[in-house]
Amino acid sequence: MIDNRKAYKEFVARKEKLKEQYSGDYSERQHKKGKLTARERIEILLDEGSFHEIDAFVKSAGGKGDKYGDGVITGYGTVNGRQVMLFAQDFNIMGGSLGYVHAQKIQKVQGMALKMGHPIIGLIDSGGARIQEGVASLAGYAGIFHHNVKASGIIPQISVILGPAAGGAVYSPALTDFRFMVKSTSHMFVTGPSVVKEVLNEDVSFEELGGAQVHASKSGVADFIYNDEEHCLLGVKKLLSYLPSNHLEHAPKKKQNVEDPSFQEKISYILPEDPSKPYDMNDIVNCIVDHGSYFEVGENFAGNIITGFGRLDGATIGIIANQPKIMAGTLDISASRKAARFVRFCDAFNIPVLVLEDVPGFIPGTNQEHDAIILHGAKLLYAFAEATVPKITVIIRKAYGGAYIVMNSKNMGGDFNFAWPTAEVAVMGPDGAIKILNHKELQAAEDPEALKKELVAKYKDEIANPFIAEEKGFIDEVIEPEKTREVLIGAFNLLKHKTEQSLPRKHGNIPL
Amino acid sequence: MIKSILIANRSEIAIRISKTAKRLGIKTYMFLTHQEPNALYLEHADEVIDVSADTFTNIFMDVEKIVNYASEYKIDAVHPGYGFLSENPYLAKSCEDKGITFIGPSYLNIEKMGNKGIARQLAIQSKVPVVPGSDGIVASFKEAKEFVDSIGYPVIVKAVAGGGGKGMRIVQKASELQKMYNAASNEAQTIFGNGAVFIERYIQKPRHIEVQVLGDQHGNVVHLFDRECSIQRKHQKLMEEAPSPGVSDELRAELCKDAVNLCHATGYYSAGTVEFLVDENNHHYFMEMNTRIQVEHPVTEAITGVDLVEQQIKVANGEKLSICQDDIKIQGSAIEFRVNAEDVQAGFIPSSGIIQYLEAPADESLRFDSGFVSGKIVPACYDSLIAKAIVFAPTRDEVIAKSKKILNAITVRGIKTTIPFFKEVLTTPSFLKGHYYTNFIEKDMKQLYFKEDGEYEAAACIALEAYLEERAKLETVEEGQAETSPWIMKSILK
Amino acid sequence: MDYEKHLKVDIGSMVKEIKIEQALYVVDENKPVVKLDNYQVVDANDNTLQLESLKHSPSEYELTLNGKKYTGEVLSLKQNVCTVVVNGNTYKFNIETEKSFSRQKFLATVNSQLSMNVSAPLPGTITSVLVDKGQKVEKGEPLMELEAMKMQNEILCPISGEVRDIKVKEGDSVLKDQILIEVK
Repeated sequence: MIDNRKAYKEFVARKEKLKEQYSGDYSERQHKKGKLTARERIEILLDEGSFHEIDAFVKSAGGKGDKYGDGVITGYGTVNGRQVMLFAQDFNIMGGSLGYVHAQKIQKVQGMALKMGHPIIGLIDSGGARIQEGVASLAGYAGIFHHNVKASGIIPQISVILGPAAGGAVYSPALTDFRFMVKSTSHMFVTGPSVVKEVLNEDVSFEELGGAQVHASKSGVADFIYNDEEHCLLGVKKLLSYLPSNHLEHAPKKKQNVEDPSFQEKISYILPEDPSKPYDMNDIVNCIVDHGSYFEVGENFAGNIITGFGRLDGATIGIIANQPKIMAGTLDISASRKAARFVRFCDAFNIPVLVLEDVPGFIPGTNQEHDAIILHGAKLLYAFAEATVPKITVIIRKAYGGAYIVMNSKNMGGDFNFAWPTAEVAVMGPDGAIKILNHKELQAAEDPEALKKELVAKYKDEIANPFIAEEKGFIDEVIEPEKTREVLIGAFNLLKHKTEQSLPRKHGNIPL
Repeated sequence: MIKSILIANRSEIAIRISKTAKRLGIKTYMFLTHQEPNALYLEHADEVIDVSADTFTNIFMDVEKIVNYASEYKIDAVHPGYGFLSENPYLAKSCEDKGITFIGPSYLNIEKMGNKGIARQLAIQSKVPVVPGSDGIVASFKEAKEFVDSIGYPVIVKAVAGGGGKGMRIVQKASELQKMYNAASNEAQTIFGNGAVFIERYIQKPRHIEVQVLGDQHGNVVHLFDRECSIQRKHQKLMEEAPSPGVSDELRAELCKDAVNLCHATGYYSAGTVEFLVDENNHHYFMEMNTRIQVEHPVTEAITGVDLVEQQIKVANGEKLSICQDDIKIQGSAIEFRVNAEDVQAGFIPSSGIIQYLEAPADESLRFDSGFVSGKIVPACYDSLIAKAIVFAPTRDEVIAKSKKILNAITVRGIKTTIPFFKEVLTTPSFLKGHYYTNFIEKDMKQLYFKEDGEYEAAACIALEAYLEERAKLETVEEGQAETSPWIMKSILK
Repeated sequence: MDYEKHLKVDIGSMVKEIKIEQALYVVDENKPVVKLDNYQVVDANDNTLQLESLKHSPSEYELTLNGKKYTGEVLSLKQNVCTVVVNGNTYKFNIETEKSFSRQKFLATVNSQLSMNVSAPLPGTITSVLVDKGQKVEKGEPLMELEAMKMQNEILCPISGEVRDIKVKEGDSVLKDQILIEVK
C-alpha cells in the first residue's frame, strides 16, 4: 500500500527489513546442504497462498540480535482446504536453535491448535537447545512437551524431521502421533556422535547413529521415510487426507472410491496352494481397499506386521495385518509395539480398525522372553480390548493360540469376526499339538513319521479349521474371499456410529 | 485295443496328448496334485485321480504309484509325456509286468539308449558316424589323460547317465583336465546317481540337428525329417525349427538314413529322436537318442501333417505303421517358440506367480499349445515352460514375418516371459539367413531382448502420467464438511 | 490431443490448477530420460515429444509418442518411484523435481556410508554361499547360488566392499525380496 503518513511508512519499512532477512544468500545456505529453506517447505506443504504467519517480528529473549523470528516460523494455513497450524524451524537463523522465545512461539500455535481443534504440523530443523540461554531454553522445551501431551489424542500432531534433532529436541517428535524423516537430511539421537566417542570411545557417523534409515528400520521411531523433502511433504499431505481434524470428527470421506478391477480375479489366487508357503499380505490388502488407497505406516520396521491406512467405500480405516512373508508372520516385541501404538491412535481418532490375521504364534526364545515379550504382547492385547472404534477381524489363514486371542478375537471385543475357508483356528499348530496329544501313540508306533503325517492331516481336517469356531459362534461367518470387500463395506457401515461406555477412571494401566 | 490312457504328466503336454486321445475315442485319466490343484490340464481329463492328499511326493516321479493307480482304475495304457519318467526304463518295465501298455519304446531300448556309452557303441555298430571319443567309460583320471593325449584338445567329459546339459564339462587345455573330470563325475553322481563318464572330441562350432523317427513293433521305421535346435541357453533349447535351414538336401538324406539305420539295428519302435552334431565342414556325428516324444515335436507335425501322438498310440496297440516313407513330405516350414515364465531382462530368472492375463491371437498359421490361461498360477516347483507357439507357413521367410506379427499380438500380464527374447532373435541377421550355430546367443545377438524404438521414452512418459495423476489426487481440495457423529460425541464428552 | 491441455484439463479437472511450476524429470539411475517443462515433454536430447495418452484402466495406459502407439502397464507407483512394463520389458524410474534431482546427484557422491542389503530376486533354495563374513568383495562378484524352478541362479554383489553379515545358509529356503547378505 502507498500512504505517506508516518505510521504506514514505518509499517512498510519493517516489512522490508523482514523480507531482507529472508533474501540474499538465505536460500543458498540451505540448498548447499541439499536442504530446502523453512519458507520453501511451507510453500510445498500448504495450499498456495494460504499461509498466514504470526509472531514474525518476535525478537530473541533479552532483545539480543537484530534477527526477527527467533529461528522459527509459525502460523496457520490450509492443506487441501483443511485448516492446520504449523511451525517450521529455520536453520538459517541462529542454527534454528531453541531459545525461550522460540519455544513460546511454538507453544502459542500448539495452544491455538488445541483450542480450535486443528491438526498441528511441526517441521523440525534445529541445532538443539540454545546454550547461551541456559535453563530458559530447557524450560522452553518442557513447555512444548507439556503441550504435546495435553493435545495427545485430541488433535493429530505430526512431526517432520528435516534436519538435526538432537538431545531434548527429539522428545517432542516422540510424543507426537507420526514422525517423517528424509534420507541423509534427518538425524535424531539423544546423544550425538561426538559425545558417544568421548564416553564410549565408539566411532559412529550421524547416519549410522540416528539417520533416517536407522530410525525407519531398526528403532521404528520414523513412521515414514522419504528420499527427498518435497515428496516427504507431499506424504504429510497424503497422511492428513486420511485423518480427521480432531477427535470429535470423522476423517473426511472421499467421493471417488474405485474398486480395483483385478480384485475379483486376484484375490482367490493370492494364497499359495500349499498352506505352509508364504505370500505377501500387501496383495490382499490392496485387493480389499479402494484402488490405490492403501498407505502403509512404519513400512520398514517390524515387517512381520503391517499397519496402515486405507479406504473402504471412501471412508478411512486403519489396517493391521500379519505379514507371512517376513518371519512367517509371527508376533514379536517390535510388532506388538508398532501395532499397539497404531491401534490406540485409530481409537483416539474414530478410525475403524480392520485386522487381517495369519499368525502362527509368538516368536519363541530367550531373547524375546528376557526382553519382556509378555508385557509387549499384552500391550497389543490391551490396545485392542480398550478400543471402542468399530473393530473387524478377518482370519485369512493361521490363527493359533495366544496370537489368535491377541489379534482382536471375538471375546476381546471384536465387533465382527470373519474367516476365509482357508483359516486354521486352534490352540496350537498341528505339529506341536500332535506331539503332545498323541505322545504315547507316537512313541509306541512302528513308523512314527508316517503316523505323524497321518495324524497331522487328520488334525488339519478336524480341528484346525474355521468351521468349529463358526459353529460355536466365535467366528461370526466364514466368507468367500471374493465377497470380502462387499461384506466389510456393509459391516463397517453398520458399525459407523458404534459407541461403548466405560466406567469413569483417571486412566487404565496399559503395560508400557 | 487301448481304450483308456493314464497321462502321467501335466501342463501343455498333458493337454496335447488328451486332445489326440479324445479324437480317437480314448478315455483319459490325469492326476490332481497338491502342487497344482487348479491346473488347466485337469479340465481336459475325462477322469481325474485325486492324489492331492499326498503333500510330500511328486506323483510324476513315482513309478510305483503311477502303475498302482493304473492297475486300480483298470486303465489300459500309460503315456509318460516328456521329462519326468518318460526315459525311465523302470516305469516301462513295471507297466509291462502289470500288463499295462506303456506308450513308448521297449524298456530295453530306453535303458540302452539312455546310457550314452552304450548308445555310442550301438551307433558305431550301425555304421553311424560318431564324434571321436573314448571306447566306453573312462574309469579314472589316468585313463582320461592317456586317452585325451592321444586325440588332442579340446575335449568334452560327459556323464553316461547324463542329459539336459548336466554332468558335462568342456576341457580346453591339459591343465584343466583333472578339475573338469572330477567336476563332471561328481555332478553326475549327485544328480543321476552314476558318476561314470566318457570323453569325446569337442566340436567347436556345432549345430544341433535332430531327426524325428517313428517305428512299429513289426520292424518298420520311417523318419519325419529334421529339426534345427541350435538356439540354446545353458543347454536348454529355446527355439526350434523344421526343416533345418542350414542343412542341404544331401546332408538331410544322410542324417535321416543314419537315424533310420540306428532304429533298425536296435529294433526301435514308437516315436524317438536321434540327435546329431554337425560341424563347420558339414560332417555329422551321432550325439544321443531321446527315446520319447519331445517338447518340439509340433514343428515336425506342422511340416509333415502327421500326428505323432496318434502314431505312438497306434504303435503301442501293436498296429503296423499306417504311413510309409513316401507319404511323408516336407510341406512348408515351421518355428516353435518356447514361451517360458522367465525374466529375460534379469538374466532369464524364473518368474512364477499368477498369470493375470494370457491371450494368443487366433491365426491360422499359429498353433498355441498352452498349459495355462488367464488366472492360473505358475508353480515354482516345476520347469518354467508355459506354452509353445508354433508358427508355420509355406516358406521360412513367411514364417518369420508371421512370427513377428504373432509375437507382438500375444499378451501376457502378471509374469515375465521369453517373448522379448524371441522378438530380438527375429531381428538377428544370422538367424534370418538361417546360418547359425549353438553359440548363437553369445555371439550373434546384439542384446538379449527386443526393445522397440522409443519404448524407453514411452515407458518414461507413462511413468510421468501415473505420477502426475497421483500428485493431482494429493493436491485435491475436498468439498464438503467433516462428518461428526452426535451419538459418538455423546459418549466421548460424557 | 494437446498435451498441455491434457495436463491442465484431464488431470487438472480434479484440481483447481495443477502446480507444475518447476520442471519434472523422469530419471533412470540419475540420468534423465524425459523432462516435463512448461507443459512440454522433451527427451534426453531436448527434442520435444508429441504425446497423446489414453487410459484403459487404473493401471493400463495407451500412449502415442511421435505417432507410434505403445501400451504399458504401471506395476507400482510408490512415493516418486514408478515401475512400468512396456512390450514385456520392465523399466523403473524416479520422478524428480529440479531441486530433488540436483539433490540426488549431490547425495550420490556424498553417500555410501551405510551398508547395503542384497535381497533374493525370486523365491528358491540357497545351494551355496560363496563368501565369508568380513571378506572383501568386488562389484559383480558372485555371493551365493540360488536354485529355483530347476535352475541355478547366481546372486551378484552390487558394490565393491566388504561382507558385513550373511543372513542365510546353505539349504535355506528363501522368499522373493528376502534379505540374503549385507555388504558395505
